Amino acid sequence: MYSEMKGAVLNSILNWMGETGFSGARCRIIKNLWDPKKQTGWLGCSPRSVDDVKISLALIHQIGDERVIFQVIRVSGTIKSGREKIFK
Amino acid sequence: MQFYDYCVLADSDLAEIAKKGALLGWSGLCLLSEQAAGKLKEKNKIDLVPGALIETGKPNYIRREADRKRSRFPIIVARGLNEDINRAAVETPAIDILLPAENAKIDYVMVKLAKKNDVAIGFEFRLLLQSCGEDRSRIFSGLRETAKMVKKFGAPFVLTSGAMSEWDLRSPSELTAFGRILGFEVPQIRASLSERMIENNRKKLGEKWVMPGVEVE
Repeated sequence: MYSEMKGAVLNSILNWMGETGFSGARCRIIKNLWDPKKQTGWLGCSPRSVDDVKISLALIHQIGDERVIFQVIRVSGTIKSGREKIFK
Repeated sequence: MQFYDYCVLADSDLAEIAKKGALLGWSGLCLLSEQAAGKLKEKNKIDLVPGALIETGKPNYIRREADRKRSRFPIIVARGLNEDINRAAVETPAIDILLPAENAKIDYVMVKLAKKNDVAIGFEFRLLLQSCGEDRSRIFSGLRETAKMVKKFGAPFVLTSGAMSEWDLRSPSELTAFGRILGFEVPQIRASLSERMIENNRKKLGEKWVMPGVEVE
């Protein structure tokens, strides 16, 4: 499931932002923070690309045969502050 | 702050739509399908508002239909299938939102009329969601062009998912990003997603309202 999700996310970002934008966004999905039970994960990107990355995620409507909705829970500068914001 | 998605075209399972809407952070959804309006008596997690969608090829029909539906629905939306329909919709103050179709262009005269008659121009995220490649870039370019004029003349606008099913719904955060990509500022976007329009219209439909600025105590 992780690999399918990763493929869909990176493909969508690449489609929306193009190769130049994608390289500037420096997107990375943090593998060990993916929670398959809750279906939540962390995606890092440059601060300038946050809106484009959000749109790219919102544009994903299907992974394999399953329909999906991606939702951005929080945007933060560090993983630590993001965790604090979520669990506050 | 409460967030409302003003143009949800889905009519499948209202309980499921309400559940997904609540999960995504919406305070209310305006359902435009006629089947949905009849089923809205059940209590739901979020505020489900019945709305009317006017979809016609005849510009003359718009005003008549809007006046007829005004007293029954808090939100009236017109689908602009072509330039003539767009023009007729922005000239009708009874219309709340104009949703232009992807190939029906909006010019600056229409934007000025929309401002004068307080008709919000709708930007549907669904148009991007259901297209890809060249089509998507063409649609996005059209949306940006319209957004530029709306911003320049200060016309009211609404950002909406335009969802045809519960799976097309997107959260207020994603629609805020959509608005920012179109060139709007965050306070403008928040105002467009807020409950202001629905509250004003509900007040107008109430018995106490007489005319703008006059209410019975």
